[in-house]
Amino acid sequence: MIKVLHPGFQSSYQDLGRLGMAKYAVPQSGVMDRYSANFANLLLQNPADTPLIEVCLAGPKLLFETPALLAVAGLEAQVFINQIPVPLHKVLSVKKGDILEVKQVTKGNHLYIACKGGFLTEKVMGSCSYYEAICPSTQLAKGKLLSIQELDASTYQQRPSHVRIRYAAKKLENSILDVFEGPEFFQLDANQKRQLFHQEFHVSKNIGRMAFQLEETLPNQLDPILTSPVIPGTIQLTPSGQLIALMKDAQTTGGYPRILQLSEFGIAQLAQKKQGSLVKFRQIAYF
Amino acid sequence: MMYKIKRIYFLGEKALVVEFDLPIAPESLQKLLQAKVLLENHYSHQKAEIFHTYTSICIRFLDEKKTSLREEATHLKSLLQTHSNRPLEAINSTNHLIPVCYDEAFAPDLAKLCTSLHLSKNELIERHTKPKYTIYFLGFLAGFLYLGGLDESLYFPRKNTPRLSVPTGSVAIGGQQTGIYPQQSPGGWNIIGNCPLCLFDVRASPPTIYQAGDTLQFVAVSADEHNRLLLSNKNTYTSRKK
Repeated sequence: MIKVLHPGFQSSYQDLGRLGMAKYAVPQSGVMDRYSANFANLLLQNPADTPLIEVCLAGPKLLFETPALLAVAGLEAQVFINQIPVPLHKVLSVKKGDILEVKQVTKGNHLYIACKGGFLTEKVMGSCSYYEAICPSTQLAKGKLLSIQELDASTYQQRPSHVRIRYAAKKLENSILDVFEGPEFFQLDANQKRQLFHQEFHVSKNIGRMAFQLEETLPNQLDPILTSPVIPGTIQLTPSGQLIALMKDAQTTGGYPRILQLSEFGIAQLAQKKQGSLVKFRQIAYF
Repeated sequence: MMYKIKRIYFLGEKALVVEFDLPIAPESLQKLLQAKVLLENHYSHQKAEIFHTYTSICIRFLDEKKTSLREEATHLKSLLQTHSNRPLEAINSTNHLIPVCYDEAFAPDLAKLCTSLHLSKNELIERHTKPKYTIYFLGFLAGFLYLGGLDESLYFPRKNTPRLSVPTGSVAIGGQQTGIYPQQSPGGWNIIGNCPLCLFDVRASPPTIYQAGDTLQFVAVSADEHNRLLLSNKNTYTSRKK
């Protein structure tokens, strides 16, 4: 058992999301930065879909009432066990009575805390991912007790075997985001297309699990479209010129022109861009 | 019967959309849903997710291995062409009755609509409850039904500033559409009533009985009846009237 002494800003359980539920208009949800989440689970040799904790900006303070093996992954954060700083991207062994604290996510927005065997949690519609309308119970709250897999005692005594993977921080924090043409890209004129790929855009303060809005606008006269499918990574252009990148909790349908589509890795990159940071789009082709 | 494909486009590395050349009409919906069944059968052995909107079907490939979207698109085109001339297999359709209380307490925008549309309250309710609406697809919110068939005389623009919170079950009109909010949410449509049924249950399988291709009719009920239904936590309604 783990006791949540302090939940942090927006800590919740996430996995790879609620797949197969778009026909009910249920968003995918799941981890915002799939690269870092996979890394944390992989370090512990957990299957990729293993539930872990997604931390946003300021993290939780957790009291371990049982031992555990953990891994924490993200761009950069202040993480402590019993007030002593611990490294990211390494297997960490915690004993009964230890307190793990994530103070601040100093680079990026999200940090992932995985534990060997995964967090034991309820699943709704196939996933533990927190989404208020579907699965409200998996948000961390003060006093909440978190269950983890009880492992064989010898697991904790051994030196944790190191899975040899290197965390590609530079690639993840790169400001250039690979994008494909969106289905309504062809409606842009040459000047608009040029602006889209030459301009640097600031990430606005309107960012979250549903969408990331960019600061600078792209003036346009595009017609609205008939309500059409959208998925995480779809970038919409509104009549007032706002560029909105839909993220993991976004709706499944939309009526704004879809001018770009982020690559899978691009979604993870954008998810880790703090408000005020710069991004630039690079067009890649479908093969 | 031709499946006329307008275009097939990709959405990122693992999704494609087949857009059909179809008007928005119940007959076209039938064709779309038949095409969807075809695709669901075709992909039944794979981890794929399929959902649709008015004239488009989106397929997301969920397994880890790399997908060649170009190859898939080619397969789909020939699959749809092969089945183009097969006889129609009708999609099962259920007609649902949806109880709505149009009392003032549940209908903050009703009076305004009556004034602007020059209709009495009874006239508005009559026109809203008369049609058999077609359920085209689910979108926008979990369980939100996109309905077709709203009487033209009831068309009314969305609010300029959406409400921050619209109660669960709110029945509303926005532009040329009418719909029901299955859960509390921000909303810009004009609220004319409330439906007490539990339209979406995350723990049920399937979570909703209201499907694309079905039809529904609104039935005006009293506040007492609304309350009774709310307390009984039902997801369906049988009219006590003849």
